[in-house]
Amino acid sequence: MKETGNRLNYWSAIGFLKRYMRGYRKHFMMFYAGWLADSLLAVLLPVLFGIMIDEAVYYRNLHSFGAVALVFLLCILFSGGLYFLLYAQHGYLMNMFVFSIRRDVFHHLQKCEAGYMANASTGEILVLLQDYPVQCMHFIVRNMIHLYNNVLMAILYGAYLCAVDWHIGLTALLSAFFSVLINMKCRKKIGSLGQEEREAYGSYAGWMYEVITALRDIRMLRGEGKIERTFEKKQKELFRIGAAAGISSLTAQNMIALSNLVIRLVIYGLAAYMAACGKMTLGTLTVIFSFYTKLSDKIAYISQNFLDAQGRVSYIQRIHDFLRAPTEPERTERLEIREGSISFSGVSFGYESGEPLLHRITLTIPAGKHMALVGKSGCGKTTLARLLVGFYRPQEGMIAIDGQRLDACALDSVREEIGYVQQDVLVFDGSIRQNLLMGNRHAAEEQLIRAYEEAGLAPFIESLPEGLDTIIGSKGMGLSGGQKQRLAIARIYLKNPKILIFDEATSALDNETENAIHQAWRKVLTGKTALVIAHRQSSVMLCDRCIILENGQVAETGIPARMAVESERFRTLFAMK
Amino acid sequence: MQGKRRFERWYMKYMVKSPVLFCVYLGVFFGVFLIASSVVTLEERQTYEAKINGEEIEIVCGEALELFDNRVYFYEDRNREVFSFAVKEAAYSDGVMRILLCGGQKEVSGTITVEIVSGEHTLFQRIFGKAGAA
Amino acid sequence: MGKRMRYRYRVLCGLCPYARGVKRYWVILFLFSAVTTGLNFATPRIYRTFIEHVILQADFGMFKTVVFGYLAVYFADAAAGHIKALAKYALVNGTTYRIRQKILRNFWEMRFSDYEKVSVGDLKMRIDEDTVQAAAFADSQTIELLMQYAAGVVSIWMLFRIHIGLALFSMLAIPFTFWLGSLISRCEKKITNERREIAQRTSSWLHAFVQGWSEVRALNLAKHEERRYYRFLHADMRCNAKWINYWTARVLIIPKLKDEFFMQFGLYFIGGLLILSGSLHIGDLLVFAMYYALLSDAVQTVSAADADLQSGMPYTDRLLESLAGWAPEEAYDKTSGQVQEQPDGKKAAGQKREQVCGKKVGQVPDTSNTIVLKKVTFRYPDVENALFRNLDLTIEKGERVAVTGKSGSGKTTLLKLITGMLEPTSGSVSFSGIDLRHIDRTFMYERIGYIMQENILFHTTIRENLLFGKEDASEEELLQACRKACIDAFITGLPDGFDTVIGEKGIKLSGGQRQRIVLARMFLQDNDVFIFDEATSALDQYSENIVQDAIRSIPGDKTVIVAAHRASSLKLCDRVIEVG
Repeated sequence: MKETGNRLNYWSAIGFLKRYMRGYRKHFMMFYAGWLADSLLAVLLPVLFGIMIDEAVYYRNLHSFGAVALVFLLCILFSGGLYFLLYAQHGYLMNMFVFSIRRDVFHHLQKCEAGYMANASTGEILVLLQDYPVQCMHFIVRNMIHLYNNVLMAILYGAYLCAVDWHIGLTALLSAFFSVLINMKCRKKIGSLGQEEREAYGSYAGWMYEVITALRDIRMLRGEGKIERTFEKKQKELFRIGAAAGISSLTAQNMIALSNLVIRLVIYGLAAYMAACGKMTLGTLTVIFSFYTKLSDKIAYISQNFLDAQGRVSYIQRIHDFLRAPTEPERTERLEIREGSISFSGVSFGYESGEPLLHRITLTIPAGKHMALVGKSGCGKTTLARLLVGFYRPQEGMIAIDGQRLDACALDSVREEIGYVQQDVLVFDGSIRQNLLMGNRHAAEEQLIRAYEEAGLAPFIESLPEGLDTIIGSKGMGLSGGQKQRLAIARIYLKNPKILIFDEATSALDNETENAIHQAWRKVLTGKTALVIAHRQSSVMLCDRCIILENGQVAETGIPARMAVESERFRTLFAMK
Repeated sequence: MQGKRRFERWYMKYMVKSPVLFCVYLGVFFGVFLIASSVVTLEERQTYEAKINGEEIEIVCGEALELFDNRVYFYEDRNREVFSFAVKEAAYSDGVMRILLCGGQKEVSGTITVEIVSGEHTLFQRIFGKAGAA
Repeated sequence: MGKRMRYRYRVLCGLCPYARGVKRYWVILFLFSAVTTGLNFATPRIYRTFIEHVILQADFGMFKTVVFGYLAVYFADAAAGHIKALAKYALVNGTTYRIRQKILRNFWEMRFSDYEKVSVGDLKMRIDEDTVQAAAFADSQTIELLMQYAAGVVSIWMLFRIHIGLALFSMLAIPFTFWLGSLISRCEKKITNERREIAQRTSSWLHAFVQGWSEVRALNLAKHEERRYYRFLHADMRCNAKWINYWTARVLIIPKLKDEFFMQFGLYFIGGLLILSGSLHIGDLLVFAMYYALLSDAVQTVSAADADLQSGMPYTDRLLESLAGWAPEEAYDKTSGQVQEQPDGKKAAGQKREQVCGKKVGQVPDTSNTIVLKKVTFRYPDVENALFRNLDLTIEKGERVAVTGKSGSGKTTLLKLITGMLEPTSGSVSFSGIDLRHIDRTFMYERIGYIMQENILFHTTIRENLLFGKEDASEEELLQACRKACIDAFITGLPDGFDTVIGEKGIKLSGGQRQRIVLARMFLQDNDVFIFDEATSALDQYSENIVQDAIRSIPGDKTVIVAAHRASSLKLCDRVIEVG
């Protein structure tokens, strides 16, 4: 995925996420307030504790000891209950916040440019929908709320230590300085290793999905050995990177621990000296040690947090970039077809920048006529169909239906009015009935039956014990190529649009079934405009006119019957002797 | 099953969606904490260098010291043992405070540190005013 | 607890064979874990010295010893930790690799008819997510567990040495939190299972949705699919909401209860009372707290390991199942959508396989290459009528056979029966005199090349895809095959030629172009039997003629079976079998 202009940093990432936080402001505030209370308590408790120890150990005040102990107990019980409330909020926010991001991404996915969808990798899109939004939530909880609380606590601890004795306070600050320094040094290395790990895993996961989908083919090609070798290579690479990242991280931790230890020993020394001079009680000592440990933990946490934040920002960046990826244009005009005449004027188009596939194509399909589109495979027939349905936009020229410019009409209205039977038929997981209703959600039962009868599926469906309710798709029965094509045709019949495009719609059917479909076409297609892309002469002969595409241009047009006799190109294409 | 669903909905409505419970909870805690820490009182102590001789303690100081509780603490090394005694009488004259203890004391003599209970303060003051010290 | 130990033992036995060659790392890990655990007990002693001598007795001289002690412990711990990490990586990586390799190999062993039934999401989980569980068994479920048990025992002894009464009091906390933790994790396990199911279904659906984007758009199904996605998400959210409460209780509240309530408050309160009464010294109390911290860490780790074991059980079970070789039909229960719990996963799946496969023949000595179907009856499981009834068919070596019939009448099914991808409901199919059930698939596909209606090309270069047909093919052979398939001009016309990447990140091929590359691949293979199932349906007449010339030029001693319904295809063949 290409990265667009603006790179997000920590602050702009927050700016980006603010939009999604807006709806849940109350909850985020509650969430933050709760954590704040918890942090303050964490600072308070050791102090209470120190008081308890002093009163008991030195002054033997049972009464004071008991009273303070009671307050301590109160605080603990409170924080227990607080956690429940807090995590209830956390769960709620996690769900709702993540949901709103996912919804946006999914929405955008629906509207994305066809070119982007054709080029994108499925694995990447899936991860964008499923994993990255969760990372956004983690970012807010860990890299914002927890971070701020920990900074606050670190400041409070530091302040207390300074208040007790400025020597100790200074030493503590020194340690903070050192560990931040070490962290920053290690950061780059660990960060880049982490990035490498993620990328290696992403590429491996994509490859693995592919292999799993193609298991049968691999076996038939006896490619198991090849796949296993690639597998070994990829796994070893993953392991190597994982181990390197882990050891790096461990080394960094050890270095930080050493610096912490040294400072701690210095503080011990100072404290011991002060105790020897009689200036410090054991209670205060306990508090100092406890605060110091917590302070160094907090510093370590904050440094680690920054590292994590960088990683997460890169995920947020991906979502941000995706949401900025070009979408299909939103237009307001609805396409209204009265008669159904199609015209291409000077249309040029190419997938990649470079050689255009289609050069200034100009052709007209009058209303109600059936036009056959033929040519060698790869010459652009499907591309023309895709342009007509609005998947792509011509780089030059204009397409008009009934005089309405296609580039002014809303794409969903275009697809409502034009039925497109593609080469690869998508069978959804569900019953046959559900699959058929994809064409027209509000079709009545009789319409359904008529549609599949016209499509020649009646004998097949009637032979099934559960008929229309048989489950097909990945969890159910498999359909043969021909059955799938007939399913697609039935779907379009149900949709009943004024313009139809058939792209190799009968290639997998035998002669007899094809004839049946052609008969049905004669009936169903009367009065409708049809564009038939085919390799079979039988389909072409049915049509009123025929266009031959060659080298991206219209080479010949004419009436099929006449072309069969007179046109050299036609005869070569269909290998007529 | 129906009961479970109803509970779920109730839970969501009151525990999660409404800020009322949350704020009430926080509010109650803060209130109780403030009240508790204002009610609990602890001793406030002042530390002085002194000399002890049998039952009598002599402190050199500028002005008269007020004994709040009629009680003093003294020790040589705080970490070893702290002694606590009631006060029979206390008098101040010429820059020296003399304190007479109830009950005999034979273990310590010479230079000591004395802590006099000079007053009371609440727990709240102890935490936020004196950061835990007396 | 005994049940969990037995489970651990069973899993270990299941995973052990894959640790061949790396077992020595386990020993190293064990030894150094003992070292680090032992070092944990040194710290309280040093601390005690610090408090007693340096603080309370103001013996500054001892401070040097304290410093030395701490530094020594640190370096020993860091060194041991490093060695442990290296050993752990070696052990875990080696074992995980072998496990994944075995699972991949088991994928090859699946029955052909099962390939259509599997869910991509499920298989991916088996080979990736489930195997991560194995890593836990190298370390946290075995060595760590043992060490923590030992540490716990030693801590308890130290605690009793300091003060019996206090020790008894502190013992109260442990069984209580343990019991509470395991109770909650049991509830968690159910929800974890549910979550995994939902995650898997969502990802399979999403996968299909993203792949079929063009159809969804052309049919204007956007809103409808969106609603479906939301339904998936809602199911997951409900599950999540339930789970988080259990998790909070187990991971946050109970430790908090234990740490702050018992360890700090309880311990110091009672300790304080004891100090006041003079039966305990403050230094002892502080050290007691440190040993108690060690004990509770040990208990926490053990409890967490148990909880992880519980919640990881679905994954671990599936892992064992995958390793033993499993077939989706038995395991997946369509009605409840749950994976059936196998009492002893290993045995059940393995047995089933034995039944079906029996003894396999590696090489087929007879080169007669005759295909014989004897009284074959076949019926799809959901369909009432049998597609074939008592079919007898013989195809001799070198014959050119065309199979025709209405679409859906069973041409592809017949071809799948011939190649062993489907098994006859009754009757037998044999190749060169041996029943297909007894032939090893790999050798079958050496002899038989099969092009189906939908072929998969991999997302790599054209050359790599072609090399799947013949690994050591020379450039000349590749060109020759492409020429036969009438695609050579197209490939050489591309800027990167044979090194052009196809697929998701590469160029898009039209239907016809794909078919021709697949044909070229087939021509590279040196099979004895060529089966073409609608292999030229997407080609125009002109290209098809060229391909048919190539088919015609296949040497006479090789069998060719063509399933098609174009008259031109039928002309190739001597014999026509009509199906239906």
